[in-house]
Amino acid sequence: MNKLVLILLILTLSGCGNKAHRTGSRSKPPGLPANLELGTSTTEEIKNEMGEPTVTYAVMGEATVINYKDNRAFKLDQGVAKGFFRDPTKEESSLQYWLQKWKDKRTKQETIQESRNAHGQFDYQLICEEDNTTIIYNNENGVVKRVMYYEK
Amino acid sequence: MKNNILLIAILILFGSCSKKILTKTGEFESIEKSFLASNPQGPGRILAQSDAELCLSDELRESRIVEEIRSLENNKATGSKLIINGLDLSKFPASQALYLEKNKEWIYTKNLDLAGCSDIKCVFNKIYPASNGLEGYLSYYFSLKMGYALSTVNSIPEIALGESVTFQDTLFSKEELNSFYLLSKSLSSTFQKLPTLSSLHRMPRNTFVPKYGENTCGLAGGAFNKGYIVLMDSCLTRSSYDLLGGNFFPLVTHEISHRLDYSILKNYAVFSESKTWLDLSGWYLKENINQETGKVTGRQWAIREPGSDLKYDGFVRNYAGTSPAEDFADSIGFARFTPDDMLKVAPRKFNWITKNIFNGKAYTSEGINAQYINFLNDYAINGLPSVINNCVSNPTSYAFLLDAAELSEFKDYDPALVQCIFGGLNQSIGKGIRSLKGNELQACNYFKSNESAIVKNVLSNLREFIKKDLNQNIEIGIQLKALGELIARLGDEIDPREIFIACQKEQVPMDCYNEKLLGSFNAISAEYAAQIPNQVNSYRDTYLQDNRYGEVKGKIVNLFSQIFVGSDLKFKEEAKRKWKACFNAKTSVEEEDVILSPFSGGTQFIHKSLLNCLNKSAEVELMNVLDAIGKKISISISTQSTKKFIYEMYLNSYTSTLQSFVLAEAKNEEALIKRIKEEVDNKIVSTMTSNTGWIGRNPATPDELAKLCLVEAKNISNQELSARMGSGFGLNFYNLFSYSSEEESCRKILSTQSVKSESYNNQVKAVKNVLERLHEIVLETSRAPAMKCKNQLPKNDKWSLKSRNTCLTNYAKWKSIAESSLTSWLMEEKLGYMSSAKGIGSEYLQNNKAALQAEAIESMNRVTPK
Repeated sequence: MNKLVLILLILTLSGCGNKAHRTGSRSKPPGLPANLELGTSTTEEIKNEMGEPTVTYAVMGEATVINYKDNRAFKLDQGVAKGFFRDPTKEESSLQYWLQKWKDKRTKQETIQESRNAHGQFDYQLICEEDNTTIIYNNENGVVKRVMYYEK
Repeated sequence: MKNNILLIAILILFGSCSKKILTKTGEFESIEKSFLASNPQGPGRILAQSDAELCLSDELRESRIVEEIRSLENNKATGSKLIINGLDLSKFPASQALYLEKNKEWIYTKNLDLAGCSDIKCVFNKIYPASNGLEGYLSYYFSLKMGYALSTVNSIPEIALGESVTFQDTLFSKEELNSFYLLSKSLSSTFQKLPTLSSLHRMPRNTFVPKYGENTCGLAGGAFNKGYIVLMDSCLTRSSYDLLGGNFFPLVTHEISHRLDYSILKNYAVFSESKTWLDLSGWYLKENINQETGKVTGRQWAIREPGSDLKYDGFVRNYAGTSPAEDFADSIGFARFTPDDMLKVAPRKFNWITKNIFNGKAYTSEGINAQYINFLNDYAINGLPSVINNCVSNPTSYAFLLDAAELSEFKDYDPALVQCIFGGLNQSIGKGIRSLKGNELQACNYFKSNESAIVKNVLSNLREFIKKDLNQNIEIGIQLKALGELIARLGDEIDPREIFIACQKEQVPMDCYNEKLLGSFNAISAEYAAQIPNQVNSYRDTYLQDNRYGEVKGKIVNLFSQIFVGSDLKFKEEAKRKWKACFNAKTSVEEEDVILSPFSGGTQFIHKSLLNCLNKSAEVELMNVLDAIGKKISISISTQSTKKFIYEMYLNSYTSTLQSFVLAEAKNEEALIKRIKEEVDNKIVSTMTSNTGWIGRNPATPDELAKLCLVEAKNISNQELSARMGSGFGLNFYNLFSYSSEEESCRKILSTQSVKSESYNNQVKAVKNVLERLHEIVLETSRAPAMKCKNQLPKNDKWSLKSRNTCLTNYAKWKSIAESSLTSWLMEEKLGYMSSAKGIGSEYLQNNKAALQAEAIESMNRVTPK
């Protein structure tokens, strides 16, 4: 009996309790494979699920981003998925969709300074911290280019 | 047996499911017939059909451009009744009036005496007083053909020109207008009627846009409904000795391609950022996000390293490598005008552009050679049915002598008939060459040295083509008749335009189109396969090439642009009507899901009820507008998918007009909300600074204080906003929650004296609560120096005790004990951020110095020395 208690204790301490750290209240980002989760999934788990990425690059803060062929990407901080980026679905590709979705939530609209093109135009971002989601869009036509989920 | 029947049934079922043939309805032919009946000058007339030997690069004559303009006009359309600065458009032919109304923003009319004008030539003669009339025709032609205007006004979108700049300073010269004419002839139909491009502008001579520097010769920008291009001197240069030399052709094409970039995919998504384009050069985005703030902190284009099995195209010049958009624009400009360079460094991009942008035409020397040979082959073959008919009924219809060797190839057949047919074909080739010279920029130069070789080549191809099936031992007349019949039947029974329209609803319309066109050809030609198998095979290629997807699309767009000219203005009127009705309608509380089509609202938040009102039944109403326009010129479009195609051609006019209303009203609302926000802000600040009870008795660290402030400010803001918004104010464009000013208010509140002093009092209380610990730390800190003193003076006689005590409490030592205790205390109690803490601590140490020293001495003396 004591052995059983000991085994349970070891299992709990050694990782079965990981779920306890996950953000239970927030819904899973659409497009993220069922077996992966932001905040807990590791590089290895992602690669097991999605295969080898097409591109890997380093970003500020000693993190890396891995990109897949279908343009899904993961930001990995110390080997753990902290961000998930993907292209919008047809419905999501209009800024109005997000403005309506987030109409009762606090949002921030800003230019992305790093995105300036040769003609001086910028991409824009709409940030909804409550949903841990940022979208990137074209401010001339409201076409959404990217949906980015992040884990604090 | 049963199994066989079942198999056959399944095969039939599958066969019918993947139906590859489309029965012709004759809709387009009937539309064209009705349109031609009402416009006898008619569409499709081409100058080069005349027998005159002309080169496109020859000096342009008025008669030629007027004739070309007529072939693009529709003067049975409803014109315009607008009067602009004395210019009465009701006096103008319909097409010209619509051009002037549509582009009124870009045609200079101020302070010109235009009252007597009733045609384009007159208007432009006032703008260009030294003109021979061609400037007006060139501008008008360019707009009719391409769909975007060449500006004559001294204002340029988003660029401040200064008051001293006159409209004459920003006029394109006659030579530049002529270059635009040549460009319009050199670009494929893909570049015509781009909904994302409205106007082209010229910067005053010898000037540039400071923001972009001297090296930028052109800009493309603007909202989708008002796309513009600005050109500076260096983009407009042409070589005096080389027809295609200079910057004009590649770089103006580059700028137009920037706007084309938004027109290829649906909903104005950027094509150059699509997977199809990115993969050609290995482009990818390096992106990053700050997890604390959600802000995107990186979004830069990079290029993948090629792998052993993965090769990427290069860039035609360094500038193309700065982003996919520049790569796309440069690649198109250079693929058209310096194709050999482009093909060398970027073959995959070159081939993609050739297929999808240039409708299958390559402009390398080899490509032009193949293009012209194909054109002449097709031209002759398409004329073959009438040549055969003429020759069969009268073998002397065309005179042509095949040489003896050539004639001997047809020795079994009637030599007169053979001579006649080749005479007819030779005549067709001649006509085809004249057509090329008159319409293709590079044709005259090309034919200067190649004409006889090309004619020989084409005739030889045709000889082979006709000869191929003669071994069937069928009388040549019958056989040629079969070929003629096939060609005629294809024309009668297939209309590629109908197939194009039918495929628009498919996921990949181009694939559907290619499959259905081929299926239809095969179905008809199957009847001739036994009789003329080789000719059927050869003609299949010709037929498919003549009816490429992009080419057919261009034909449809041009036909409907001509028939439905002015529909954009009608759609604008409809948008105005709809806006008026919806904006003034009362907001309903019960609402279904938001409708985002056809008007998505762009970048502006729009209240669901307003958006739904604008979108509900919009499509049906706009289709009715098209019906009404068609009815006026006796044209009715029966197929819903054709109607939908025309509707989508003009939809941008409707949505962009709504967008402009939204922006104007949103601006008004913004001003109002700004005022309300200021009032709410004042209320929050005055309430919270006059009564600081909300701070409570908490220690109030800056973070905690800011949080408290936000909670309280939000309470007041919500109450105040609902009071102010309750008075019937229609909140159509702003989501106040996103724009609330609590953070701003709190910044002001936390810096006011009353809040600062309350917070200070809280801090003082908090510090005083932990002074006891400072006492302990002083004693702990004094322990080590005390031990040192005691060890130095171990005896317990009077002199030693006095010296020992002084050793511990002398000014320097005690100062050091006090300072280091104070620092430890501030750190340990995390009081560093409190401005009051250090002062209170110091004061405590000062006031209790004697008692603390006494306690330290006592503690020191209690311990036995070593």
